[in-house]
Amino acid sequence: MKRRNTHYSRRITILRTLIQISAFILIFGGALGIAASEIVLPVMIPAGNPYTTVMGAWQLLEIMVTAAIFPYLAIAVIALGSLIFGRFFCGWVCPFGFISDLVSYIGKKGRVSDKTNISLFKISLFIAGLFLFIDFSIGYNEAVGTSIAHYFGDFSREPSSIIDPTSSMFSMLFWYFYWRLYPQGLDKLSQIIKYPPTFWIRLVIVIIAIVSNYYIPRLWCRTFCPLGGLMGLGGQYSLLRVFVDPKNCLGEKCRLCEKRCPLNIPLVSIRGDIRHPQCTMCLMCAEACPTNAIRLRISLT
Amino acid sequence: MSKRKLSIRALLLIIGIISLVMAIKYEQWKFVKEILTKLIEFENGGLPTIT
Repeated sequence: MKRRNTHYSRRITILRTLIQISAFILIFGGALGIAASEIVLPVMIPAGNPYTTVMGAWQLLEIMVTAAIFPYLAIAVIALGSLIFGRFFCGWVCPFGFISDLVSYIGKKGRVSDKTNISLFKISLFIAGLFLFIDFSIGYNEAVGTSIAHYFGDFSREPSSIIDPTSSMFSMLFWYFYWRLYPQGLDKLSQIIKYPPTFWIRLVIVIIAIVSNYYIPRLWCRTFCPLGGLMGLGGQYSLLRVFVDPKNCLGEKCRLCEKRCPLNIPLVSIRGDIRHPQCTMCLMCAEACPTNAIRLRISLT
Repeated sequence: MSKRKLSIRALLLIIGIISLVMAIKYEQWKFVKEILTKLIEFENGGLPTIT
């Protein structure tokens, strides 16, 4: 028997936002005196911020590979993380995802077709592949003594940081405003004009990445995040997943879940287990469902 | 379960477990701790060097 929600609830949004705020505080917990740990999470976390307490898997992977160290730990976190949780961490833990969600709550919530969505995912995969190729090229040449790191300048240890708004915001801009280390930052703003073009490129990317969420939620995450691409690739086969119960789903005449989904997943068309590379398991669909047909479940089949 | 899903899950599991075992063998968590406890400039591309 179908059970109807009598009133619209925001419980999941509130719970998710509270978890995102807690994760944000813990990730940058050094500011509160929390010591750095050895924990690696499958989200984009800047390593260059002095208050970071946990490491991002993608950042660890890049830093280790470019230092000619095989990144077993990062690979383990990405492989097992995507197998078990899919992109759950993107939706519930990622600090940049949290900022994106805050902007998209007040935004226009623009939609893209599923075909475009899949194309955007393929772009993120291409970006992941491109940076992995660069990383392994640098690492290999370091190992054999024919270093090519100098060609990449400041980006030789973490090439993807040029397009990564997380590291640009929480590392580059953090240090810019941290006047004790960069006295030319706050007290001599006129100096900023002399900064290298890469500073301006990164600043523009940060602004675009944040503002774009006003028009299309999580546009950077679904298009350019290299870790999101890798997690989405394995996440299609994850054990934890969103499940749309076909028995309770009202189908074509309802589609409230699809209208609410910030990542435009065609839930009604798919039904059953949602194996979509862009699904971050934010559960906005479950919140919108009038028959409680949508839930998270662990599926071994 | 389809063969494709089963094989990809098995592949991810094998890669993950082997990598985890090797990470434990080489104590790679110490590298994580080292990165997080020292001042690094890997992500500061675009800024002048610390003076």
